[in-house]
Amino acid sequence: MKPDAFVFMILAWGCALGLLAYCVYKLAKNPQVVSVLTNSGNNKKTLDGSGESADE
Amino acid sequence: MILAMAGNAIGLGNFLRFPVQAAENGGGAFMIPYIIAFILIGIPLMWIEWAMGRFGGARGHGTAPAVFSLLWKSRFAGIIGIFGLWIPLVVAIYYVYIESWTLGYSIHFLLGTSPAITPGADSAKEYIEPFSNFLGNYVGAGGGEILTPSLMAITAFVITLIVNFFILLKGISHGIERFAKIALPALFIMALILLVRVLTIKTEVGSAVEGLNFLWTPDFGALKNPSVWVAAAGQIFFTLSLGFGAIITYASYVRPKQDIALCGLTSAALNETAEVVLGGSIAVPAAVAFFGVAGAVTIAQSGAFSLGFVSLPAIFASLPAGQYLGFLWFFLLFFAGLTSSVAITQPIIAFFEDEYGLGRAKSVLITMGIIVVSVLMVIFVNETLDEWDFWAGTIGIVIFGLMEVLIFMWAFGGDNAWAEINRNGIIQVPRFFYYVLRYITPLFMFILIGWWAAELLPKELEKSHWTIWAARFYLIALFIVLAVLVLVADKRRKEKNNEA
Repeated sequence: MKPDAFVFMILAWGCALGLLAYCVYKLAKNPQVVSVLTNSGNNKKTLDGSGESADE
Repeated sequence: MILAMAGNAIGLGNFLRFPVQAAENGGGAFMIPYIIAFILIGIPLMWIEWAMGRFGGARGHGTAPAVFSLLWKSRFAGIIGIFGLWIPLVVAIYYVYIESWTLGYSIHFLLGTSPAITPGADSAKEYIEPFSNFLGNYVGAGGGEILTPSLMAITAFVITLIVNFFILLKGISHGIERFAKIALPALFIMALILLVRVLTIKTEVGSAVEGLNFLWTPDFGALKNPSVWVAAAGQIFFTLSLGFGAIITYASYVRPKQDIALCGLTSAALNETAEVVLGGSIAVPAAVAFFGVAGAVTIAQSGAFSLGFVSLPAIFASLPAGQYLGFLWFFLLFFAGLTSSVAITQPIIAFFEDEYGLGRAKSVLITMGIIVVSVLMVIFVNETLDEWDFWAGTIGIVIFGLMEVLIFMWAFGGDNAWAEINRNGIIQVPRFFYYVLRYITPLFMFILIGWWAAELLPKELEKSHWTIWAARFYLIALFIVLAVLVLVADKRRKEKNNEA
């Protein structure tokens, strides 16, 4: 691969993967965020249209 | 929810639009304005939409008209908010149909009924001709005003509609989130398999590595061209699904005390990984390996559809086990499309649930009913798809995005908005972004809209065929219907508040 193309590709990949790694690291330190986000709704809205709030 | 949000963002644009845009706009140099636009428009608007959604959700509303009215005590707030229903509805109508093509093509590849390479073809044009004709026959484009789609196109569309219907019927946690948990990892695995296969392609014409060279070699001269900057900003908008209203609706299901700063950033990061790492390494490198740089440029200039539905099928058809690679490619696109279509359909469903108190099943049925009736225009009337994509999916989302920034950062108040974004945040958003959100993002978007208005609008308004006008009138009719629904809901809400 040409060096300049290689450098730009690695830079772009590095930015994307670096940002993702940072986010995953932060989320891993706060696992409650993931569990709450995937199993919750807020106080007013319902998640499945059942009319019952997840918090109630 | 993060995966559902990422699924919303990761769509056909990551695998088709991004490589075409990069190849056409300076290769590696395109990444400079792209990253700048990501920082100045992408991430800020992502935070705004998450924050607006959580704010509205905590008060029982998950769609733009009501959320805007909560943030800005003006009668214009609700009117502007109608666009937050109109845009996702219009885009959902045609997006579901395009999504069904990917399913139809994947079935064709699996059954071995996709076209074969013309023996003796020695130019890119001859090579892809059977596949170009195949796409024409698939959608029934014979050059006339009325399209006559193939039986497979209709069948795949019905299946796609049913799959969307059942995911949406199951609700956010049992339908969309559960599907995203399976679909997103599956999508990444399929993309990785394709990436490994594509990067090992070597033909007499070229190799995938030459394709990577072509895509990533920086042309710094391109940075002097304003259209490259506009293209980069536009790509950021499309790829992160900003201005569609879907993020507001999804975020309205987040708990009021839950972080949104890190969650918003994570969904953006997942999308960027899918786009830059995977999206940039499949379609264009494969095209260069088969057609050479000149052929790939011609293909890229003919647009993302041509690359995805004409050139890549031709490439897969000539590879060993290409039948299965083709199936994998289109099934990957189908999954990417599905995670996005359920997201953009959600705002209108949430509107019926939140503002009219309808149950999930009724709301989904009404929404799907509107989609089924409206999509007939897209399926049968030529040019409707392009026309709707221009008004809703190109211009509309950017104007609506600008309205979101102005309402949140100015009408709601900069300090209130900043506090809302950072409330219960796991990460503290750097203060630098306060100024970006308040001044730079709206300025950047004003320039973007101005440029498009000057460049694209005159060309668009020159079109005057009856099919174009029919498509435009239908868009206006849809807007009027939504406006009436929003006004009635607003009246009901006010009456309820007065009674209370």
